[in-house]
Amino acid sequence: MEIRTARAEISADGKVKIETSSQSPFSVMKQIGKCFNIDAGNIEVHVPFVGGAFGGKAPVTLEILAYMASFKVNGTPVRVIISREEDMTSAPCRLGLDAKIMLGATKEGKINAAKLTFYLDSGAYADISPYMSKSIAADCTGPYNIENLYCDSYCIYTNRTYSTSYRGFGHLCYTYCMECALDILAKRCEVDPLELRLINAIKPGNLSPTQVISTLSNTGNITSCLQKLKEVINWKGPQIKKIDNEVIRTTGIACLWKQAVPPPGSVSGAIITFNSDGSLNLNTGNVEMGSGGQTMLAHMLADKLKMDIKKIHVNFTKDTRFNPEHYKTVASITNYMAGNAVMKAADEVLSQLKEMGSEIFSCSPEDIDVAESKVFRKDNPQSFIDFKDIVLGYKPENEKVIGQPVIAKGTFILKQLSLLDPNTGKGKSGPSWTVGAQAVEIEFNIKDYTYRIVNATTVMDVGKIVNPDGMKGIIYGGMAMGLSMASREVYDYNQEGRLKTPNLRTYKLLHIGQEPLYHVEFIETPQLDSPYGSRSISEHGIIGIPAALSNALSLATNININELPLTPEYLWRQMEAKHDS
Amino acid sequence: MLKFYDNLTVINLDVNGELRSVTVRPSDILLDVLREQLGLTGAKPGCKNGDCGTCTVLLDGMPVKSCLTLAIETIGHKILTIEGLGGMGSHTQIQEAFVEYNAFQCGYCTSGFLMVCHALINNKPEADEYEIEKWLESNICRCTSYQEIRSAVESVLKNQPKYV
Amino acid sequence: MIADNFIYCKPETKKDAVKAYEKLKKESNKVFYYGGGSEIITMARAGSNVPDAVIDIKGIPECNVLELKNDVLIIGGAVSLNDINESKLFPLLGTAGARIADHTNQCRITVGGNICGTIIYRETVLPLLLTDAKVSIYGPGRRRTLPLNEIFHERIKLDQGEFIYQIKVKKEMTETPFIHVKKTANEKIDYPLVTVCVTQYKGRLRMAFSGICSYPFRSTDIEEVINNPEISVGDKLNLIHNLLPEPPLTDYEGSGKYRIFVMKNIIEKILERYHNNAKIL
Repeated sequence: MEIRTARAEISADGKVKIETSSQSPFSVMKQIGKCFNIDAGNIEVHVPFVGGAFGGKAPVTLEILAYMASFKVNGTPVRVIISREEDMTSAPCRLGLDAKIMLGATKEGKINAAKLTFYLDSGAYADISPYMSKSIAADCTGPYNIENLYCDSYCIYTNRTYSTSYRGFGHLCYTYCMECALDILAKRCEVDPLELRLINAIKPGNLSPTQVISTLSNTGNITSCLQKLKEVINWKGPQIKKIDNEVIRTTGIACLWKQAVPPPGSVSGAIITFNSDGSLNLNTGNVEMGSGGQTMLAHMLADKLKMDIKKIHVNFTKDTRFNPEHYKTVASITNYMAGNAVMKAADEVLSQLKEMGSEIFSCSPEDIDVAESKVFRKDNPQSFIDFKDIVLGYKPENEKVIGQPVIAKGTFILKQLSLLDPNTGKGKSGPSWTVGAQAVEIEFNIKDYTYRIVNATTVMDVGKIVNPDGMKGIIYGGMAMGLSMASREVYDYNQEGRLKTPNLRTYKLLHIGQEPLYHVEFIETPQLDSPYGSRSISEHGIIGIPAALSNALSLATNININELPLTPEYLWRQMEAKHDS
Repeated sequence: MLKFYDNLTVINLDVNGELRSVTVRPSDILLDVLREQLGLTGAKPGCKNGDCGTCTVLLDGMPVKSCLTLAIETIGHKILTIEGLGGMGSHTQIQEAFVEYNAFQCGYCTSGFLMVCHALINNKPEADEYEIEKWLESNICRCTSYQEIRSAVESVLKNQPKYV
Repeated sequence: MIADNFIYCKPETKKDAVKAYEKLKKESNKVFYYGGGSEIITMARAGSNVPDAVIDIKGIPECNVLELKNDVLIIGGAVSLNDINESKLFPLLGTAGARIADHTNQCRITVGGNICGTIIYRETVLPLLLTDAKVSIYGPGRRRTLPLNEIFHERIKLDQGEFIYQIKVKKEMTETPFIHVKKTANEKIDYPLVTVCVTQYKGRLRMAFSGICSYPFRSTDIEEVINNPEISVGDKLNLIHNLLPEPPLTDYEGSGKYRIFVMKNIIEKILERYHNNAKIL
């Protein structure tokens, strides 16, 4: 809900200070440095709490204008705030996409071949749309095993607001098209759409679209997600339930998957320092924007150090001078990249404490344990030293000082990724996928073509449940965003290329009272190279929802709906066209 | 004698129980004055068009969108902002309920929602689902599903002494 | 923020309000009476209609009245939509107001502001047209009270310097059975695709519309058709379509053709209920 804003000032010795609502302070640093020939060390970027971002605040935009304005007035602080109207019309927005999907399958519904063509409406500038184009291609099938695959993914300039990452990095767009196509295929083969997805579900040993061998660790278990979904929503096939003379109930389903695709060599880091009361400070480069990333890191750290999470302090505001660089707070990858760094830092904490403990208790470090903010011998836990007495060095009265202040670091760099081969498309774009299955149940009025969304369900393979309420909250939020988007949001332009709906009165968003009951269930298939086996989940709640809603409406209307948004007027037009023809 | 305000004038506003002096033009909106002159940045600009509710404060106990209210027309009225809603160590029940029910993520819309919820609980302790929706429709949250906010409000209403 | 400044005053009597108008008009071009203020502030921020001066009528006692007196309901021009709804003194007007904007905005939007403002839908006008409401107007040199339908054609026709300080409706009219249906593109709170208000009085249905055309209206021709027992429901719907005062509105909320579809559905339901029960409630 927070509009974009940035503030810049330049001190007399040329040091630049930028304060901005951004997901990527380190990118701001790099771009300003590159554009204006300033050494990175002379630029500091501050990011306080960010009032929501969802990918839209990853590009560097107002920071450049703020810098230029400050430069013009000899470094006086300049703040640039845009109105909601300006934010919607000129700041980057979400992607538009058209697709051509051709599927070849046996009568039983096993898909043997697919030819997929995606046209991305990138808008006026490319920004990161080419990366979205590649990301869509790398995941183009969805979580299914299709052995013969051809895919073209075109990123196209148009004279509209330029696109950037938006929750899902383009995945909800192509997933919508693919999952609608799957339902049409299911109808043709006269196979239950959930069974069709089970038949084609990707399994260990199958290849992804870019020929990465799928394993339970790198993919998760879509079959389990589908089976659990079937049980949770009590699925008995594509049914139309009559509620009364005018209203029927239907349910639509869709699957989702996504891998994060930050560039190879992306970094993250964590630094742990201690306070004199024994509490610790967890210092990472992850921006705080509501996605609960730092909360998850704190949970993991508390678990690793076997201590009370309340004694772990995270810092909410970011400063590129003091926080270790984290690529960008995007791609739901905090748990993996920053999480791995935090685990390494935790290992260092334990190692340093055990070293000190071994000297204090005259034993080897392996005999020392650390738990509940205490350091003690495993065979004599009653004799312990509290953190507050050891973390800044052990200084007992009248005895010699032992050890050093505990300062620990952990780092992470993304390796083992490759570019896609230009001929075969073979390559490894990301470290892992997250899979899930979703369902949306609606009540449809066959007289006036309006509908009410009654239930929305997600079963997601999260690898490891960390902070279940937090995880559910994020997934619910993604589902809500998906429903809002699918049912009423649209960037519509008039003949002159102007946005018709440039504010929150005309651009429709879901309000309270319109929402369904949300349900989330988890599957846990660990990702072995991720802390506690956790998977990325922050974006994913949105991805399959528009398709699930559309499939429910297709069933209700008996029309192959394949376009968003699903407004009652759109449905009316489709029904009228059906009656006429 | 009718007073005409035409330029920068010093006026006194009753904000969170205190009389505060601000210097305003007649066309200055309450949101800007609260944030820029009094440092009360709890109320937020989300659209400045009355559509999103992030700027909501209470005027004489009822919610108003401070982006659609002139500072000058609030003379003689009581303004309550989020900063006035329980201070250090003395949060209201609704604030605690929001924490308990995980009813926020980025927090940008939260102060607006809390003000509306606070007014709802005080004015309609018997509010049913319809009434809750009616009041909260005025605010948009993009991060949550509204489910948690609803649970938080319902939990507090359940504990309210009802009017007899 | 609003870039331009304007003059503000808050008179305590109707006379002072008009005196202020006359004084300000000498030096300024755009002098607006100010009720809830949401429209004025919105337009001023956009720069589309910036006043030079505003006269806040919320301080005038007559404008804040909301009471039944001698079997007449008196509603001050500065009374908010929420207050009207909460009072339950005029359920149809309360219901209509409750659907115009979200609750927080309803606490500020005044009935006078909704009638006289620039937003085309003016949904509070519908119940007032259907209940033979009278408006009391104060202006330079005169005050007058007359039926709303004599002074409202597409929009309110006020002379310069005039403002509505009260609306008067007979108590029996506020108690007539009614139906209020508002259909929007998707959300509950939004501008209308079609709003239809119906009342039943002395055995006849009265009907008023907003959203279907670019202004709210009540049509005696349409009411003739509605109340004619010889015409079938299906034929009534087609006749009503042809009797609209102008082609249906097309805007970003919905197309004209879709609005016709929505309107027909609404009226069909109302008529079916009426035909089945000979009453609408």
